[in-house]
Amino acid sequence: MRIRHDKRNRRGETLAGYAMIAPLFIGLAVFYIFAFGQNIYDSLTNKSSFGVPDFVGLANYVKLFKAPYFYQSLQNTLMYVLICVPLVVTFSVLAAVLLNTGIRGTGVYRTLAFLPAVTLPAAIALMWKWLLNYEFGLINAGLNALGISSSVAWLSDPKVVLFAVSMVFVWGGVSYQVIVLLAGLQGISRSYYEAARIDGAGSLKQFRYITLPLLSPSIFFVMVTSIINVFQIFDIIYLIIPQYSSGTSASRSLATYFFEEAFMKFQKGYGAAIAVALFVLILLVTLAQLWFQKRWVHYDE
Amino acid sequence: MKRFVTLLLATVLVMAFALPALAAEKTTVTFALWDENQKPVFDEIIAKFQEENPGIAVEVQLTPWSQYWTKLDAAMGAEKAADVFWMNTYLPKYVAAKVLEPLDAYIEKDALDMDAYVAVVRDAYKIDGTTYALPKGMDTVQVFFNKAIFDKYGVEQPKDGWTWDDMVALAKQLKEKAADGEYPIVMELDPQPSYFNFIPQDGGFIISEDRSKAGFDQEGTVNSYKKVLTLMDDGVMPDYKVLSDTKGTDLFLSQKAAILFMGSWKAMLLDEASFAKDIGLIPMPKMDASNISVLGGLGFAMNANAQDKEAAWKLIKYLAGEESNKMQAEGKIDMPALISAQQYYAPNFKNLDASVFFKVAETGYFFPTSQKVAEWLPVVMDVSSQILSGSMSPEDGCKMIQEQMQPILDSEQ
Repeated sequence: MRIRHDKRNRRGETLAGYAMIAPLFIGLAVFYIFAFGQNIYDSLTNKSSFGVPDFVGLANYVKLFKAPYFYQSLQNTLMYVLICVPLVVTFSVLAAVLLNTGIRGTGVYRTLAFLPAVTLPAAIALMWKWLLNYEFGLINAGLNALGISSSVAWLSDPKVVLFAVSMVFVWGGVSYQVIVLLAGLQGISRSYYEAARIDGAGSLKQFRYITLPLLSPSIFFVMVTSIINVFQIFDIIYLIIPQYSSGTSASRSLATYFFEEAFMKFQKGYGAAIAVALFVLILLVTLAQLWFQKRWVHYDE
Repeated sequence: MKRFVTLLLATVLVMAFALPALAAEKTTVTFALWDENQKPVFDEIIAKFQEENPGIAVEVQLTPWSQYWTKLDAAMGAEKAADVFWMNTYLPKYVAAKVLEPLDAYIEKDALDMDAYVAVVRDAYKIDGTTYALPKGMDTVQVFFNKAIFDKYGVEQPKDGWTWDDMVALAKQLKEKAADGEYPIVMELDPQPSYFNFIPQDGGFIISEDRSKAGFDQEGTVNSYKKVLTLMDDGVMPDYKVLSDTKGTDLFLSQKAAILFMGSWKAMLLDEASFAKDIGLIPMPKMDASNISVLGGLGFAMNANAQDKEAAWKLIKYLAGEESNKMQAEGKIDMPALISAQQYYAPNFKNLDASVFFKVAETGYFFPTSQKVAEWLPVVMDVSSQILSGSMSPEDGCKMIQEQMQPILDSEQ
């Protein structure tokens, strides 16, 4: 009797558990899992504005691999990753360590550091758009004051737009990661540092041999999410580079290319193929990271 | 007493059954638009329409521009699109998909005078002789100039009938005397306020009249880009670095520019400038062929699957009619293409002379389009920006546009 009672109880618990995750799971199923499958199917059709799309097999992918725009936006996207990810990781580790030292007013600094993460991307972009303005921007004014007389066309010179966008991305992207790393830092037991100090290790050595290894799981998380975020870079470009200006092609990422094709030229099937290509790219890079993490990520047992 | 109660109950019962029946006689027309700034005026227009047509209830559906077309397309597929909606340069695409109701039969039946509209705008909504939309309004491109700057430097003000060379000569005189950071000429390098005017002005074309040929292999087309680049090279117009970050209109408004090429859609803003009394307004200078202006504008179209087409037509006719045009003109949201209503628009300006817009409209041509305009226009804009920033020569750029645009047009046939 007792056993049966337990069983029934457990089944009830299981059901309750499912019921509780249901709202999230249903949302996930409809808006992510179903949409994901739908996108893959769409990429095999000539879906455009209306009418029933025809199945066209791999035609969209053939077109994609022949399109100069695809290679250019792929190259730009990889450049964004190469520039932004190391900077985001470095700055966020540095900022987190500094914010963890317990200087006076830490609370204020932490709040300030977190501000960009709670600011709308549109607000960040609009602020930078003015800072970077060629004729009236504060940054060029600063450069001029420093004696550099020729202003830089941050948002329209094809040679520099990619760096300008990266700069804004790093500025806006560091802050959330700082919070993740701060949490990681706080999880490191004080006793390690005490032991190290007794053994005569200075703060640099403590950082190198205690902080970094014990923080590596958090750094790994920061790296994986940063890479995914940068691969999907869209809003900053969309907001600070004027559409179809001289800076457009030099700053175009795969996500903006997707947006242009799917929502401005209404080529939804082709757009879906771009999205699938981006997905495969991110998947491969993330798998590679998971593989390589064994070499450098240290999980504290 | 009992009888009275029975009677009362019976009345109530009859009314309870009858009222929904009465209500059901009222037909509902849905009307989609994208501009929330214009919606308050349209709400008033709709209220007035419903007053005059008690049998029709209009439901206004506002969808922001960024989602308007995606939503319209999806709704068309599901046969749930609005009955009446705003239509723009994408018209040929919707006509080709056979989702728009031809309006000729209705126009004929009501003997609607189509000559009451500016001809170019009226004809813009005709595809192969069939009318698919009635004009909402229009916008034109012309030159605004700051008289005070001309007077300050003792340079003669531009006069109607001027040529491109006249303009360059004036600009060079200004350039000699102007301070650093002051520009003789500014423009915005988007198609409508700049090169879509210059291309036909210099004898080229963007798309042939039958919409089958791209005109970027034309000498005039290439030359028009060269003329704009020459302005930059001569230093009479700031280069792309300045113009792509700061709007030409903003430079003009901060009194740093003498001549501005700009659309009528910014006129209201310019009229409110502190120095508005010094702003002169004239048609563009003549290039080799003409000083033609590209005209923009919207129309009201009907869904071919509209529930109650008679009611939808009544709404369209009203929206494009005198009263609605008057309210839009006085509400400062659109410049009437209905000639009789243009008188209501001009008084909006305290300083500018709005008659120039109507004059320019008479000789204008409508914004170039075709079935797949959404595919080729981005190509034109993308490459044009590269030409105007000097990263590609006008010859190479135009060749590149031609090579991409012509196959798109060919695939429409």
